[in-house]
Amino acid sequence: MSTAPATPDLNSLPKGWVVTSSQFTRQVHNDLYLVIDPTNLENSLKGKTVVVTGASRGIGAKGIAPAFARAGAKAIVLIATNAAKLAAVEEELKRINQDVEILALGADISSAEQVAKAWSEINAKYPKVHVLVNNAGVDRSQVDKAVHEQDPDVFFKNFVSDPQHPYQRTEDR
Amino acid sequence: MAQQFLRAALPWASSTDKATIISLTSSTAWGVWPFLAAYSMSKAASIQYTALLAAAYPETLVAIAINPGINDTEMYPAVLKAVGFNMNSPELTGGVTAWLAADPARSQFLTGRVLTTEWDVEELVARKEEIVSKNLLTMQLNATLGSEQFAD
Repeated sequence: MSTAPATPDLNSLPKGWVVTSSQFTRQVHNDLYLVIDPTNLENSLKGKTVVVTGASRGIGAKGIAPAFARAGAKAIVLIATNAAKLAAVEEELKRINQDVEILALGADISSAEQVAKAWSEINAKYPKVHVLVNNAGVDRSQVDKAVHEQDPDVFFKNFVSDPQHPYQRTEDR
Repeated sequence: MAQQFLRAALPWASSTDKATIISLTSSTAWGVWPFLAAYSMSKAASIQYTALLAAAYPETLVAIAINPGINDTEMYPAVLKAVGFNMNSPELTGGVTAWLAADPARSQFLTGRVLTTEWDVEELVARKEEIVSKNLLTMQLNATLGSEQFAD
């Protein structure tokens, strides 16, 4: 009988281990490649409206929202807890694609009330939103504590980002 | 968020014009990492939520979970950053997200499933039948279940 999997010693692992240990295809990528290039016409989002949460920083700001702008989306709705932080992202998206419409909204996605308010604003302008990217997330891991030592309130703060837990605070991915 | 999106989408979405939900998750969801206990559980929940959304709206929604791998963001834990694992560019996840969102018919075979953005999308498309028929890229209880196995 096998026991529960042991946690590997991270420092002993090859630098590509995270990729290779979860590899499902022969070829793997760490950067943009032709087939997924948003400027490739086969990836056009022309006429489409998308909503991106956690859009003020990280992957949302640097990866996902710019890809939609490059793919020629009609409109990109940017959502972040702090709307002021979205100004720079909006500017960058307009620089990528001057025709893209941007709606930047401040909303804490852990608040059902704020989410409902944001969607009434979104739908007033864009009745048809084709794509939602649930990108917002937090990591409140207590990496220096064993499980029995962890603060339960902090433990549960990790569950803010996921769409089934719309009731706790969130910050941007 | 998903609920409000669906309320707005269900009146127009159809089998030929589907809505799309892409949710960010993590490979920690299928690993076992005590020091990332709650985070990894939340990401596993996101994968399972994707599966149930896909099952709930099979004709109108494409729901896919994506693992962006390691990115140099503020939320990347310092303890992992110190290890020096290779990182992905945010453009990789941006590109895969756009690829998935651009053509719901092309992404349909991945609905209810999770993928890592490092994986080559052309290879995934080439393995479409295998992925669907074996229900790959889903979270399952790793056991042989069912009373049939005990039949004499």
